[in-house]
Amino acid sequence: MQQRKVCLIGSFAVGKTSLLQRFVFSRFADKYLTTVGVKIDRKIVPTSRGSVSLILWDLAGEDEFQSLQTAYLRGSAGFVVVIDCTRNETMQQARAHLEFLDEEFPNAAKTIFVNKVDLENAWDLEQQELSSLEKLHPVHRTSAKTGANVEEAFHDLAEAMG
Amino acid sequence: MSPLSQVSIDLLPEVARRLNLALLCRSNESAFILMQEPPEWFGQIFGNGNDNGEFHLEQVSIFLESFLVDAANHWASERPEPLKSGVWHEFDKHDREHYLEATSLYVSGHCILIVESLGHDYEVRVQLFQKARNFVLQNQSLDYELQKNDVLLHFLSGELAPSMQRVSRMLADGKAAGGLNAEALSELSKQVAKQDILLDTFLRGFSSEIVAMQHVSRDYSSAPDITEVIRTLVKSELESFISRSVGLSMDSTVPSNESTKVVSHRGRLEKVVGSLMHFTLRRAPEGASVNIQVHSHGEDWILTEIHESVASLGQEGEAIFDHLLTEEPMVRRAALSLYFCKLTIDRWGGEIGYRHAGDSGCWWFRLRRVKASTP
Ligand SMILES: Nc1nc2c(ncn2[C@@H]2O[C@H](COP(=O)(O)OP(=O)(O)OP(=O)(O)O)[C@@H](O)[C@H]2O)c(=O)[nH]1
Ligand SMILES: [Mg+2]
Repeated sequence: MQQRKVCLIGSFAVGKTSLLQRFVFSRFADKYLTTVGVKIDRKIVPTSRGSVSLILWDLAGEDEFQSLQTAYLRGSAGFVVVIDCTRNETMQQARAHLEFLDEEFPNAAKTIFVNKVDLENAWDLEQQELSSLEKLHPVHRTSAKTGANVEEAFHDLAEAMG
Repeated sequence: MSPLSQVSIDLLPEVARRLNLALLCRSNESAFILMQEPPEWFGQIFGNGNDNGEFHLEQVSIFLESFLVDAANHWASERPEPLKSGVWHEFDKHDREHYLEATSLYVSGHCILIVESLGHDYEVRVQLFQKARNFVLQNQSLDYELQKNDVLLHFLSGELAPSMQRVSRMLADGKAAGGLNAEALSELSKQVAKQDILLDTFLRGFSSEIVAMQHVSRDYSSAPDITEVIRTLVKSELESFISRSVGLSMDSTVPSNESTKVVSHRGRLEKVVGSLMHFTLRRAPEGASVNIQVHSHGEDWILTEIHESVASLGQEGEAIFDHLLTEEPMVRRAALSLYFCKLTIDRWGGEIGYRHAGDSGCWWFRLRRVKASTP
């Protein structure tokens, strides 16, 4: 079976671990437990080219205390850049990540998950900025909490990785 | 060989084992052999190797597969300093989670790989990160609330108020002229429609707050205990206060055999007390202190007082709950959250206010006590 490495990156607390918990184990926890270090999970997904085994790397979120270790990204066929729709600054960070990825991994598939869409009332993203990202990369509006769009978003990425 | 070096050689493997280190040496391009009897977890995660005692770690661990690429370059460079992998999580055969870190080292022509299981140190590090991130998130959400308030105030004072003034002016003009003509009527309905939209925006922006305001627990089993709510808040906010050199403490004069459950709703009550604490904290100078007190107030009430050693508002602050939306700009920023505190407390049948005395000040509110015998 084909294997594909996928890295989830984004600011701290945007929901990277929660998205994987939802996608791989169909569960969700409200309590925030920050990830320090790397966690790897796998899930097999069907694609038009047959089943693909996704090797999902959950990387520690970035902040002033910890920055992205680029050695972990090696060999990635796909990247999920996660934004928290209630925190506009996580979109700024996502933009910087995507610029870096486009430079260093021009052939990898990249997709943006705008997460926590169940918190519609607290929506904080500047639409103009989001639209400009949308022109460059596919954007999925997900909720790890309700499960909305999570499965579809990962499947789209699996297809796009070729 | 000196006796000391013989002792070292005998003891070193056990020393490493006790330190939770597994020491391996590369035997060929991809295989490693153990240099000592490894700690127990090593076998539970990585197995026992093949018949020759060799481990092909890249086949057992995805993370190591990736790190060994960097390690191979590092060994080839023969650099003296170690290369660390960073922490990763691995599950053993009993599904227990371990936090590991690998180090590659080049020593006298040998390629050494050390795998360490991180124990307490790692947990301390995680706790530290957790605290720091919770703190940043808390500050961000506070900023967000303030921004939201600003936007709404702008709506109310900048858009809704002028539009309402226009409507009343038109009505007054119409009255003076003995009736409204068609043009004035159409303009009037336009203005009213505009107000409708603005109000709708207002309500939607705050719909979650307004819905939450409806919740109230009156019975003994579900009503929140205000002493407990405050104690929890004081604990969780202590760090923000300390970081600004402002003291925070709480006291209760209610006898311990009396209940301090109050007619309210836990989530909202936390928000009310939290808003008042933040309001105070934002205005407190360094070295000031805040003391929260819970008192019985007659048979039926529980009174909560938030004493500030340095008053956050002057004498005029005593009227703050009377005309929130017209306060001076500095106060206005936070006024909306105070406004919601007042609406909430009113709805629970309570009362809220601010007192000013000399340099100090005191926020207070009282809520109805829920007694155990209350049906
Ligand atoms: N409402 C809501 N909350 C979410 C959602 N996804 C995650 N959360 C919450 O957001 C917080 C952070 O989620 P995590 O999955 O730990 O975030 P992370 O990106 O892995 O964080 P780090 O490991 O610190 O980088 C947790 O309290 C989650 O419960 C979502 O879709 N909706
Ligand atoms: Mg995480």
